[in-house]
Amino acid sequence: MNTELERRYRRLLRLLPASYRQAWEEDMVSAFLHSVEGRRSDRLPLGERLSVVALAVRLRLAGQHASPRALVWHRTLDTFALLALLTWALHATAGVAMLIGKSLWATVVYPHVTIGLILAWGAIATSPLWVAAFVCLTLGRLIAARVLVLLVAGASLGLTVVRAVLSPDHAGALVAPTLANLTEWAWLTAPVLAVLLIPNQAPGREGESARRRRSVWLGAYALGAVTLAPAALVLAPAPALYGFWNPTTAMHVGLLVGMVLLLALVALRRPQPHWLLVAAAFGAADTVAHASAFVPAVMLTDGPLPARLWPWLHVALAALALACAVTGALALRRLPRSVPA
Amino acid sequence: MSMSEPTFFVLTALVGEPRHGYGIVGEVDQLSGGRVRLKIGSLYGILDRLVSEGLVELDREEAYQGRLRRYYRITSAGLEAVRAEAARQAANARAATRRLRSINLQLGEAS
Repeated sequence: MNTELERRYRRLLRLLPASYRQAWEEDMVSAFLHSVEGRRSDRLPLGERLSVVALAVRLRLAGQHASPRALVWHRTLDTFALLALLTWALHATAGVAMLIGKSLWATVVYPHVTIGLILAWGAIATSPLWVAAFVCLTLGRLIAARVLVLLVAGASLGLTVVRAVLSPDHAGALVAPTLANLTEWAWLTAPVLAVLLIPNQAPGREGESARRRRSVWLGAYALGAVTLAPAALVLAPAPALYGFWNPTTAMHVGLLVGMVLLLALVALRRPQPHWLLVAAAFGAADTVAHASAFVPAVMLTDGPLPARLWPWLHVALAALALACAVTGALALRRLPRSVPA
Repeated sequence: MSMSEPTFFVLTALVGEPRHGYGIVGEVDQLSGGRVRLKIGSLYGILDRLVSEGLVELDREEAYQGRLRRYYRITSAGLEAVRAEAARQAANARAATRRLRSINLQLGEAS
C-alpha cells in the first residue's frame, strides 16, 4: 500500500469543507487508493488534483456544505449580476425607445452612413442581448446567460473599436486610462465576470424560492420598462426634459431609496448582508465615476436647481455606500466561517 | 430537467447491483465505451448530490485490505429518474433519426 500517496491525497482533501470530509473522506481515500493500485509514482495524478479542487470550490460556494458566510458571498455575486444585468437591460430598452422616438419626431435624420448611425444600429442590435441575458439569468438558464453576456460584451467592444477607427475624436477612448474610460469598462466587465463566476448549482434556483425570485426580478424589469420606455419615446427630442427621467436617473434614485431601506433594516436588527454588499459595490462604482466632479460641482452656487442638486445626490450615495459597506461587513463577520463537522 | 452525462452513467451503473466507489468508476467507463472517465473527486461530488436528493443510498460496508469500503445502491426514485432520462434521450434520438432518414430519402430522390 502506498502510504506516501495516501498522505498526499488526504492533505489534498483538506481543501474540502469539514462536514463533507466527515461524510466522504474515508470512502474517497479507499476508492482513490484502489484506482492507483500498482502505480509506482508518489505524485498525485493531475486529473485527481483538479477534480478535488473543482469539488472544493463548488461545495464552498454553494450547496449544503457551504458555510453561512460563503452563502452570503454567493448571494452577493448572484444579486450583483442580476441587478447589473437589470440596469443594462433597462438602459437598452430605453435606448431603443429613444431611437424610435427620435425617428418618429424626425429630429435626427441620417442621410448617409455616419458614426451616429453605426452606433444607433449597434445599440439596436445589442439591446435584445442584454434583455435576453437578464431573462435567462432570472430563469436560472446560466449557460445561455453566460453565452449572451459574452456576445454582448464582444459586440460592445466591437462598436467601440468601430467608433475609434471611424472617428479620430474617439480614437483615444480605447486606450486612454482616464477615470471615465475605466469606469465605463468596469460597468461592462463587472456583470460579465459576475455571470461567469456564479456557481452552476446554487440555492434558490429550484422550487418555490425560484418562482418567487423569477416574479420579483421580471416584475422589476417590467415596471422599469413601463416607466422608462414611454418617457424615452416621448421626451427623446427634448434632451433637457429627458434628463429628468432616464435609466441613469432611475438607477440613482433607486439606489438611494434602496440604500436607505437597507440601512433602516439594519437599524431594525434585520440586516441583509448580501444586499448591503451589493448596494455598497454599486455606490462605490458611482463614487469612482463622479469623484473628480465632486468638489467643483458642490461649490456651484448658481445655475438651475437640478444642476446644483445633482452633485449632492452623488455625495449622499457615497456616504450611504460607505455605511452599507461597514454594516454589511459587520453582519458578515457575525456569521460562522465554516459548517460545523 | 435533463441530467448531466456523468450523473446519468453513475445512476445507470448502479441499476441492478450495488457498487463501491471504484466499481462505479469502472462501470461508467464500460457503459460509456471509454468516453466518460470519472475522477474520484468528480464521482464523490455526484454521489453526494444523488444521496442528498434520495436517488442513491448506502447499501453496506465491507472490509477490503484493512479499510471499510462502502457500497451504494439506487433507490426507487433513482430508478424512476434513470427511466425518465433514458426515455427523453430515446425520444431525442428518434426525432434526429427521423429527420436524417427524410434527408437521406430526399437526397436519394434528387440523385
